[in-house]
Amino acid sequence: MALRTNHAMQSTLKKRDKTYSELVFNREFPAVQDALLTRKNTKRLKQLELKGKKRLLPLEIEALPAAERNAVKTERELAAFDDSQNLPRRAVEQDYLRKVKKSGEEAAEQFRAGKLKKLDDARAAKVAELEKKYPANVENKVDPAAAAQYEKALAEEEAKLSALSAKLEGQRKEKLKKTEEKLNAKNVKLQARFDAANNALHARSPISEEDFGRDNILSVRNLKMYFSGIKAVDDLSFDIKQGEIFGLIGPNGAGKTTVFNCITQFYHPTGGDVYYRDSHGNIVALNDYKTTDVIKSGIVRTFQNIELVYWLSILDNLLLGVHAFYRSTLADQFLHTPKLKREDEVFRQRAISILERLGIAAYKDMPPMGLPYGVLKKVELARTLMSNPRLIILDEPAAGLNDAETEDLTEIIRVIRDDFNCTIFLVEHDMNLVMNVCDTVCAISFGKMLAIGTPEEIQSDPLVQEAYLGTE
Amino acid sequence: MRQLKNEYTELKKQYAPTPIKNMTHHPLFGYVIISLILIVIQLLFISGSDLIPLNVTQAIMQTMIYIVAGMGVGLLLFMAGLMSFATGAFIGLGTYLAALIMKNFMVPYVVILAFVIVVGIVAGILVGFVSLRVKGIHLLIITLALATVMSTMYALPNSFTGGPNGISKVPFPELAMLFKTNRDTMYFVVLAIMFVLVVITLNIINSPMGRAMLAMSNSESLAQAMGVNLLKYRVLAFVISTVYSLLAGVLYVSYMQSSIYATWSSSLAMNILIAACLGGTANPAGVMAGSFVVFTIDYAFLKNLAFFQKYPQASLFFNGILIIIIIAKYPGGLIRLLGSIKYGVKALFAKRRVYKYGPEN
Amino acid sequence: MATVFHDTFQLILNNLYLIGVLALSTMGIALTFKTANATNFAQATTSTVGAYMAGWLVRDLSANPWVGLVVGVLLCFTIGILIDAVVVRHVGVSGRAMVTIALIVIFTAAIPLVFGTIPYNYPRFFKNQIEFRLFGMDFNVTQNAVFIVLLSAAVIAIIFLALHLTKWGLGVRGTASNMYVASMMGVNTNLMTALSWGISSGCGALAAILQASQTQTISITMLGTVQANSLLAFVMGGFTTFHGPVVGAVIIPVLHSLMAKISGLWASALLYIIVMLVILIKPAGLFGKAVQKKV
Repeated sequence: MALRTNHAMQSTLKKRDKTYSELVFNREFPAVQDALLTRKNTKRLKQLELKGKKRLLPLEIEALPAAERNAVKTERELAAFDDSQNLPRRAVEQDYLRKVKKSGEEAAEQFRAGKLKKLDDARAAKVAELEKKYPANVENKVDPAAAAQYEKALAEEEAKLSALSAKLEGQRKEKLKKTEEKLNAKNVKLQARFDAANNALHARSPISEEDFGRDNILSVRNLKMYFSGIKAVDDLSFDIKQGEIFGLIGPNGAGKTTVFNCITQFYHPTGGDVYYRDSHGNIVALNDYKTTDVIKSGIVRTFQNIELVYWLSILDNLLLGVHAFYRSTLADQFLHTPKLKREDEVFRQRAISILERLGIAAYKDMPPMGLPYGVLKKVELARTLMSNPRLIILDEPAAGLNDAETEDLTEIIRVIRDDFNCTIFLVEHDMNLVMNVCDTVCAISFGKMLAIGTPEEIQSDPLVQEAYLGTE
Repeated sequence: MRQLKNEYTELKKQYAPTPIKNMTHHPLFGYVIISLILIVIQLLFISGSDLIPLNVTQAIMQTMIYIVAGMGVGLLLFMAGLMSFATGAFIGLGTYLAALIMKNFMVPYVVILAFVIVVGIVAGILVGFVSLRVKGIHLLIITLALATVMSTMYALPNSFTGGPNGISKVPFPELAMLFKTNRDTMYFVVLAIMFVLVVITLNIINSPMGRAMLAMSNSESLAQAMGVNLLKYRVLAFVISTVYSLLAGVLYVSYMQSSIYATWSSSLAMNILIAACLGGTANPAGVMAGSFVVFTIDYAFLKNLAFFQKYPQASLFFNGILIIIIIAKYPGGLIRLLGSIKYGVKALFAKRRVYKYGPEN
Repeated sequence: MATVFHDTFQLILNNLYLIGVLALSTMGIALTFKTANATNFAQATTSTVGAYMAGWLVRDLSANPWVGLVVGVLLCFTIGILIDAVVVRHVGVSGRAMVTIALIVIFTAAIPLVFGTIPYNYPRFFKNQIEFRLFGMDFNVTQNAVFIVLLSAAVIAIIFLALHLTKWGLGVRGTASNMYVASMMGVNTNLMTALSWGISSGCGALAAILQASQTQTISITMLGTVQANSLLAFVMGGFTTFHGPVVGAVIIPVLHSLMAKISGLWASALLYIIVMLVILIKPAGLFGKAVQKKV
């Protein structure tokens, strides 16, 4: 009996996926909590330090030798006075410029001189006053009482700071330890439940390991997709190896996107099978999956045109990519319980680290509206990475990009493959990109396979040349 | 010495505690302020001040009730991209259900609310399932038919709705069997329930389901590829909106003590839709601004003028013009408009500063 | 059995004029939907203006009802063109339904200001009753109702012929299938949409005045049910075609009469429930085709 119609197996699958996302969450959570606590503690410590400094600053001045102290005080008060004169001086300059236009240079000059004189006089008076208040020629001697007070205050502040630091550190460690213990205990149970469910599913593999091929991640066999008589895909078979970059090329209307849609179950194939090795090493028949469940098995796709939600920030768009892995119930979401907040935080950290890896973290809080096309393409790639995928399906990633951006994209596709351990399957018109980046290329025409092999083999294949350039 | 001062300013820039800024930036700050103002208005009214006439508090009261329904419509319209004409009919259903319970049984108010929520969930699920087959404007037409069916049924002679005469003399509810409410205290109950629903609405907008609904209204294929179950979230959007409408109905009948079928026509739904649309966003702030323009101004001020007493529909004329201008010129709605006014004032001050003191170096 | 048939058929005959009114109104909605991509919720309200104009001419200037008919239709034709030129053209597709809802509000507010709050009367174009025998039973129908159906049929036929035979029709159909391509092919799409709005509002006014001549009253709510029914007929018939909505408009009054026979009080409720079920079973309508979306 196929998985599609077997409700017991469907629920096992659901249970396994849910357990797995909880396991992944539990694995990621301590680090996120650590980072959050550290950030919070640092802020508290710095605020305390700030408070201390505010108290210490006047004391320190008092503790200086008398001459030096007077110099510092004079300097500080004069600086404050200059600050207060800054705006009036600028206003005078502006008025001068306007007067020049209105009543000639001479009158303006006169006006400015008069105004500036007033300001300068005020400043001179202030300087004289300060000289009187803080005479420079005093005996350069430290006031022992002030110095002692300063020393005492300094020691106090430092003691306070170190006490708080130790306390916070202790709290943090304790909290982390508690979480870790709790999660570890939970994880043992979860792992057992996960293993049980996974084994049950493993036992129901539609085809054997040997038949599927040990290195393969996806195997398309005799795929057929007919639209009321039009054969969009006709008897197509190919295998994709784990960790390779696989390119699908073909002239317009060759059925490339249809192949994608059949794999991701947007269309249900007329005939043929699509086998796939999911994140846990099980071989599954994708035809059994619903469109919305495909992402949970570790396959994510992008679309030809950019599909971002323009009312959400880049970060929230990335969180959309992990939607299927949220375990918070609707009630959690209505009330924003701590469970949802914790989950949000974990996924947000994941999103930020991915954005940083792709070099677009600076855009994280902006809405996509008006950002460069190349950045938006990268955001789409980042969103696919959010769900920890095993196979990423890219539909014409280079469409609409200029040469420099395409080069950038080539680099990023390699980064994704190497850093995130993904297999990449792409459809592309840009031959440069395909020949540069792909390990294997498959050429199709009118839904039928023309050739498959390394880029060099494909370039020299007479059938492919014929399909692209036409017969003579 | 100099070093110490620099360290101090640097620290201050980064870590200075900013309690006032933190408070004003809190998402609920504005709503708390609005609630406080509303409480003050009612307290003034109860104390017998001449500042607040009766019709103003009544207008505010009715507006609050329609804001509750409007928030559901706003979520449906701006998050899920769906429209419904059945809001008015569902508010009516809420009033009749609540009246039935309040007249015949002595149960706490919370029980009535819970019962109505359950009914709302069931009704929302039914409408939601319809929405999966019929899309866009055609769904709106279906809801128009549904609203017509429901209001026709309300008008038929029966004991549930009281037929063409409606129901009246519904007793004021007793809160948790402790104290009996009256018109004046009911105001605070409505305000409290509205506030709770504002918080829940904000939570919905900022949660995975809010993002899923936005994605769904933006592009169904994207939503599906991201694992968003279309049926689930469409139904959910309708359930939320229906529950909000029914709750508004309960509040209406608890305050007005009566309900008549003619109120629950599609023209009420249209007014609520217009209010939500004027706001221009799913945020409760938008709905509040829109409802203020559509309901409060009309009920509190225009109804007193002789001209509008003669032509009761005329006040809607300006709402109609306003909404066309908003849709054509300010797709962001009143909230965006307020935002740009704020920005414009700020820019004006900046310009004046540059005029007086020259450009900043 | 025979009496049941007699009563039902007589009910249909009594509501015969509704077929014409609904068909005209629905035709107007279909026309603006296909060309301007806007579902006109304000179709009936706009038309009421034309009816009031005609009623005013007849009452205050004691004009001939036929003159009232022509002036009312021309007025609504102009209003339709103005709606497109001033409002709808400047609004994105998603906002257009909302704009027509705003138009309802504006017109319902403006009509009492201009024409007063007291309902108007309107004379019948033909005063006589037609009596005839069928299957040995007596039936009667007003001459006016027959005239309404015939006139509506003629107008709809002319619009259909114009759509399929004239250059304007080609332009409208081109705009309907793809606005951008049509404008690139040299079709003045602005003119096409404006004309469609004008013609559809004209159709609406004609429907309103014809109904007024039958029921002999003009009020602000006179077309309330017609509006809802024509929108439903439009969806039920299938909004992707031009003829589907018209067929829907013929079905609904007949169905309504049948329901009225079954239960007088519940007639409208039963009718809407049946129509909703039909739409649920065939979302694209009776004659429409479902469009498959490309991923």
